[in-house]
Amino acid sequence: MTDQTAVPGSSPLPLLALLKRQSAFQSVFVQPWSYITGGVLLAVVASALLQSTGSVWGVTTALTYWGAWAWGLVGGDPHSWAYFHEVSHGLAFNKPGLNILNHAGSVVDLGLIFGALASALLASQFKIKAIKSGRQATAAILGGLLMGFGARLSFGCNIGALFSGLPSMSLHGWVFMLFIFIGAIIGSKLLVTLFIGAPKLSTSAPAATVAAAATVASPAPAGGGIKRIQRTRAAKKENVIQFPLGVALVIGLAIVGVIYGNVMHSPVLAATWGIGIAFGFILQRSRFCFTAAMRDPVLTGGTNLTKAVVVALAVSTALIAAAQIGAYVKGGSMDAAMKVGGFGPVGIWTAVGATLFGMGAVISGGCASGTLMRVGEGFLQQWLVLPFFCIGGAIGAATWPIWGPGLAVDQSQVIYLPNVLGGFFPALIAQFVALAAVWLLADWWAKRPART
Amino acid sequence: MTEKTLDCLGEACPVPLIRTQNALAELAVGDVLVVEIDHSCAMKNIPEWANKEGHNFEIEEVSDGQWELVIEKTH
Repeated sequence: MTDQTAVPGSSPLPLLALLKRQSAFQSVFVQPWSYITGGVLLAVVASALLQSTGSVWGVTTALTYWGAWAWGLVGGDPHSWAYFHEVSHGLAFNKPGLNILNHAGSVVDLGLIFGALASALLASQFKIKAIKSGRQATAAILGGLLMGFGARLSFGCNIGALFSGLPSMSLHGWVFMLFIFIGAIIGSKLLVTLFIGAPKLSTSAPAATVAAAATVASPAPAGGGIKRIQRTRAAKKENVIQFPLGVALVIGLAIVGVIYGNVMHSPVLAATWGIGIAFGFILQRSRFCFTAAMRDPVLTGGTNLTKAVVVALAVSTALIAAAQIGAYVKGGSMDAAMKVGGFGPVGIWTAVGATLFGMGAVISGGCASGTLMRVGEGFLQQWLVLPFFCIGGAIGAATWPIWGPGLAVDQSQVIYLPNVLGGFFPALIAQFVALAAVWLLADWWAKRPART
Repeated sequence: MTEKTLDCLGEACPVPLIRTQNALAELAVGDVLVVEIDHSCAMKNIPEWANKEGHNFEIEEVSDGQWELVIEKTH
């Protein structure tokens, strides 16, 4: 940590360099936020998206459209696919004139990628991270396909079904959460046996031979820290490029927002764009990761993220339920309340899709939102995941005539907890008790005596 | 004392953490493991794990988006 205090005597941008050393700047733009901060902010911003556009946050439906559009570009005819005529999540596809720049779901995804890129640049943490092996590439391709395909079967991903569906009190969100967890367990076993790879471990030269050099090259770290035999490189140089690039990018993104609002006259797309950017920024700053929340309890025993996801779902439930009750009071019927939120039919297809999705997320190293965030951070593994995610989604949509009847998908099976539990009050009690139970289970899991 | 370096550059979660756990298990108490990472999440979850397990650790940012986690095995 001593490294960062080096004064850049000849920085071309002394004001920016000065700003970067302010502690408030450091804690907002450089140091990672807590998971809870990230989760609560995601819930609040997701609610803002619902308020300003009338739609809940989703990620994968747009990626399916991207895959289908690509298929159209190479001569296919995705518009004829039954999925885009019969299935609730695909109906918007045949809207005339729809493209990647005016489809709200696509705009939020693009915003997320650029928001994460801006966030990484402002923190001077952007780096193109190469794919090192065929094993990694295989994991990325397989994981992307599984996620894209699985999310079609389950009517949403970790965002659409879990983060939006569960707080909307749609039963498919709860079933998705249970089975993404099971998928994550299976994925973890696959990862550990097939995709972990051989560790690249090297031993530093014996202490005696470098002792003399070490006293010169290796000043003791502040606070009398760990004694190192060998420092592998010189102290970090003050970076002056990434931060100004980040500022320039933020200005560019704001201009795009103004174009949406004032040139295309679409305040909804302008809001969607800004909120997508906010999602990317929050995800990058907090490293909020749904995949790790599902995977780490089994793989590493850690449940901090799991608990943060539960807190985010609880906050989101309160915000969405308030909007639903408002709609109920205004419209006078449960149908009016169900216009607010993210709903999907629940059944065996939810379980199958969520399991495949969970496996894919663990193998590829990120869920739907995590993949987009890491694309923005420069992670080439996720650059490879993304196209296969789109292809997997397009395959799921193109082959819907097999899976729809095969899994007996019944789109009328939307189960809204206030309908089946006898009103908003008992449903909210059940929802919060269930979330509290998951939180307590996660808390107990992390604290239980270690196994050997 | 032995010091080993584990190269996890380019690897996504949870690979860096699992390799760290495996590598540290092979070391003796007092040995040091230097984990090279460029995954922004590993820069948070490996220190969390080390903290929970009670090992000493330091994070050094060695260049943009790249960190070295220095972990001293304490038990």
